Amino acid sequence: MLLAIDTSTGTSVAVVGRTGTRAERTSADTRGHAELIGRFIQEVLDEAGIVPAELEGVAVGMGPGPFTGLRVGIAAARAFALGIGRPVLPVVSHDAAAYGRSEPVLVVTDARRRELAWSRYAAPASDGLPVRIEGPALTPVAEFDTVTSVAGYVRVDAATIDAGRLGLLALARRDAGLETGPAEPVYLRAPDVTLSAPKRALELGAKAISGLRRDASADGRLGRRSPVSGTWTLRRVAASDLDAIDALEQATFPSDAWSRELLAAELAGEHTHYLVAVDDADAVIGYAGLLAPRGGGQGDVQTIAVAASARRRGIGAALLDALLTEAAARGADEVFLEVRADNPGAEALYASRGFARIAVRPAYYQPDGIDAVVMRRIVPNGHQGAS
Amino acid sequence: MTTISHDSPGGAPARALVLGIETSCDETGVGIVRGTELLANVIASSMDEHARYGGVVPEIAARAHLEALTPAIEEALRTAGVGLDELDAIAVTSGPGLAGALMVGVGAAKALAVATGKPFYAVNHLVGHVGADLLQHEPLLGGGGLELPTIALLVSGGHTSLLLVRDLVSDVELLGETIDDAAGEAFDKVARLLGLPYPGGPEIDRAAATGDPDAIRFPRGLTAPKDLERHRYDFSFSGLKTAVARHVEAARAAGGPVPVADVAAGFREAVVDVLLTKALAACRDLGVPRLLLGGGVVANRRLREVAALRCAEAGVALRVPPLSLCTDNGAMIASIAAQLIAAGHAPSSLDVGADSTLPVTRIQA
Repeated sequence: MLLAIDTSTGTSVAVVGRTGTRAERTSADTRGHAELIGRFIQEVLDEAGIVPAELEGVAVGMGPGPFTGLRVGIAAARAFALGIGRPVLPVVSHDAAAYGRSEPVLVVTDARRRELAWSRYAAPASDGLPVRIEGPALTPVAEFDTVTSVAGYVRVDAATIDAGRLGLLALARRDAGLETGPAEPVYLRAPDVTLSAPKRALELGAKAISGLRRDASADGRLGRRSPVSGTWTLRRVAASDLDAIDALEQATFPSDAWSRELLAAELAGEHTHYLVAVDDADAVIGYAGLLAPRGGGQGDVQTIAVAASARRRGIGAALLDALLTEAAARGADEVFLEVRADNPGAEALYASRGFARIAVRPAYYQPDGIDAVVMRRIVPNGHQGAS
Repeated sequence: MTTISHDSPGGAPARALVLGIETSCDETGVGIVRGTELLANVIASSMDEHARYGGVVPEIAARAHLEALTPAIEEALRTAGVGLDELDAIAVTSGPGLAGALMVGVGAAKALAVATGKPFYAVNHLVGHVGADLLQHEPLLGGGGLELPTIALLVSGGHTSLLLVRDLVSDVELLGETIDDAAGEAFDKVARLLGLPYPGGPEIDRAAATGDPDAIRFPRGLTAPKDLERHRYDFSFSGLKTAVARHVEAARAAGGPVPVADVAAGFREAVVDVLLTKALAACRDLGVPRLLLGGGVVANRRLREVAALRCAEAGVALRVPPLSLCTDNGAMIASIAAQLIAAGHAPSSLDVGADSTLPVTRIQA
């Protein structure tokens, strides 16, 4: 008999034996893993009428799934196994959803952030064990057609992974002398480098350091739009972009450029999100930054700059839109920015994205003595970013 | 040596053997205590992995906890020379801290408790820092055992809190805390401004060694009369950080070198001054002539020096546990649980979750 745990989606815990699932508890709640895990383990043991020492091991789903919840199940499985002196039997969570299907299947789970996690399985051999031939992998929801366009697979959308089936699969693989799965979690994403330290007040570090939240408008002189050839793309900033950004900063804001040190600190900021626009040769032609501590509820557009030669191509607007998307993902219900009062084109751009004037700071931009217009955008239904 | 002892109602063990798990920030701590006797204190830190980002990255910390936790439990059991079956309880930090990091410890502790059939105690991290001082040890400063009531000043990368502790298992009051950055965070951020590596505390200390602490007078947050009305015991370090940034910017703008040693010394002096001024004000206002320091920033030598000096002037008895018990650790969590058990407190519910903002008044969750 095995204890089986999966927290890659909701929380599911079971006791399984060679005759089938003996007891199971499953919740589709995608947040309550730490609360539910102890009670569920206790209840399935009680319902199965066994004591921990009777278990041969602990099967556990290794993902893919949102990391925070996924780890609760793996930590619990490892600690429980240590507690009874029995092995952990790790299983790729998708394998459990494919187990028992006789046809080729595509298992799909929600990876949040508008991405889906998926694995592709061939039809099983006579042993009935799932044969994963591709994945687990992540694909944006918008591009998911490319995955589903492979003909001949039945799509299986798994809202929860069933711990009973996962445990039965682990038992079957173990009895067949097979490795049950990977020893480490299937993360599929690199860690977000975003600090959310335990604190109550909103962190305003980068803005305070700068003391001069930026005229977020270098691309905002929008009077005439003329099509300019050449393609560009946005990507997350890399440390190696600092030289290019520093040069662009000096060229764009000659009277009040941020220092290289300040730029470096901004790019590496714990609560900031910086993007660069690059041309076909990956040369930086624009950049923009957001300050939005996760859970802080508020965000600031720190700066937007686009090279003079690359303006009027919608790059500033695209950077702004990308920052607003990130702000929403971080749960920032309000986003603030400041813009020079002598730049109505930029103000119009911001207004078009839902920003409204809330204040004027006299003579904010020095040495020019220009007022700053403070604008705010209320994000409808801002929600917390996941995993 | 005198230690706090409680009656043991209902036959609860006065010296419970407890394994404590701590994963609230970037240290994976597992400790084992028997009452106030320290048997094991295993700490695995993911600090090096955060260095390139200049601060703790929650996702990196949580991944590291998952990797380190079960090996740390095994090592603690080996060090203490006890088996899981001998334990009286499993304890864990349930908050405050980083939610994703806390959940790793909470999930593991619950499962271990069910697997071994041991009672489960969910404990407050901040009160744990005070509980560390109960454990028999050679304190860095101060002699004898912990006496109550005491004022406790807990200063780390995640917290800056001033507590009034009347009873460790039933009466802890939050007097004040930081309203923005934790002191340790301020050290990290100022270090970055000065081009020094992470973690900032030791680097600022090193740079300040040759500096003049009086050369630059940086502001002391929330010490103006109007602030003292509302924030008598609260701290704020973001204004100080801004002042340092302005100073550095001005020096660079003037084309001269940044006086790193003087800036570091002046900054450190401002932090230390405001921490101790407020802590000693609490001692005086509340008539409690005892101050306990805890948290990783206690590693800062200047903080300990000035604390010793000013406590002596004020007639306040100062206690500083050894560093291995000041930084986040599992032994302090086990220590509080042992006290709860001795006082006859029932185990926590298995339904308790991680609470990143658990108030200090909730000693047991």
